[in-house]
Amino acid sequence: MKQFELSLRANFLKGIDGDAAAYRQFLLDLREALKPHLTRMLSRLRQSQLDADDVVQETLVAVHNKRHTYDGETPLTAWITAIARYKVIDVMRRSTLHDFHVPIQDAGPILSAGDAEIDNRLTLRKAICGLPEKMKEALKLVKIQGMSVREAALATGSSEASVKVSVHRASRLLKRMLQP
Amino acid sequence: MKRDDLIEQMVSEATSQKRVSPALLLVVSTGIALALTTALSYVFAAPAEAAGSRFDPVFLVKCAFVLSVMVGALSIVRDLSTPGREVKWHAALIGVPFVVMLALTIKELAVEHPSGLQHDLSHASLITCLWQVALLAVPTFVALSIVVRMLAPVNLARTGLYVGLLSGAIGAFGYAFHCHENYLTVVAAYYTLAIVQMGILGAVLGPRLLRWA
Repeated sequence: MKQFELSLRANFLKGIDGDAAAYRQFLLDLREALKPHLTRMLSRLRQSQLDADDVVQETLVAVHNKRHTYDGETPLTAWITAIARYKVIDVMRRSTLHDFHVPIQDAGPILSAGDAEIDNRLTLRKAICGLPEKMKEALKLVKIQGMSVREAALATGSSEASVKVSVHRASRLLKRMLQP
Repeated sequence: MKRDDLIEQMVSEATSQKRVSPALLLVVSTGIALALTTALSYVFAAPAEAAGSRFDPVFLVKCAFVLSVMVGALSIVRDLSTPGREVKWHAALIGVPFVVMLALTIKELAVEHPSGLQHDLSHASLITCLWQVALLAVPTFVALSIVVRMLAPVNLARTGLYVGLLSGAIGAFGYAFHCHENYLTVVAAYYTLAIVQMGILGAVLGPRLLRWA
């Protein structure tokens, strides 16, 4: 364990200093270590329906986004474990989808289309309304407003990786929600 | 997005980055907030009224009290803003100024039997103290919430509580230059309530304000 901490920390610190190869190795090692850890954690919390891969991705992005705040005094594995726990709670909270509804003022364009078109649009809109806020915003900016990932990242104040993950997860969740 | 694509994306963003020291960032922001709040309280209130009594012992006790709470809360906020860092025994130190004020209050009530206390201890002066401290503390609370959110707090309600206490102590410091309370009992009761109200506000708003992705 100590050996793992040392190698992980060495690669992480080199990565912060701009060493791409060391940072890649850090992320790969972390991904491998996080998967069983988070699977166990989700199972212990009776949240096995949540996809451990999704939480791993979220944790990797969170570690990446906050890497510059690592103080160097705290053991890196403790730092990452605390972030992973935070992300598990965050994902659990977001997994409770909101009730679907379409505000009456937004119904105008829908009513001017044909019956099948109305059904499709309503279903899609309801599904998008049910997405967690972060995913909904990323999807809207990139897929509906046609922004590039970089522009969406700037607009939302998050990293490009984070926007890409949100769009990808939103698409996958929509697909799952729209399956008959 | 494939998992390897994500890693390559993050690697491509991993250019050399300057590390931020959470402790330094928090100390500097708190120092700026303290200076600005004090300046603000001088500009917008009427310091001349309290000028005569500014450096009496009660004023010094007020300052010592709120500054000790501030130092204690700052130290805990620093720990809570770093994932994996334990909030150790020094967290209990934040209780020391409150205990000291309680002891001073008991001494004042039991030994000195102050005659004008009932006159000073009024509903109107309490409300004035609470809203003025809150007014002075809110800009600090907003600024510190933004700074703490830039770090990585993982226990948001608890971090919000201490950010609130820290802001409340800074607001109370600004208010101390203008309040006319001359009894330690009044100071202990009013200032504790004023600081704690900000702590409660922080604990309630923390999960929303401090949430990061």
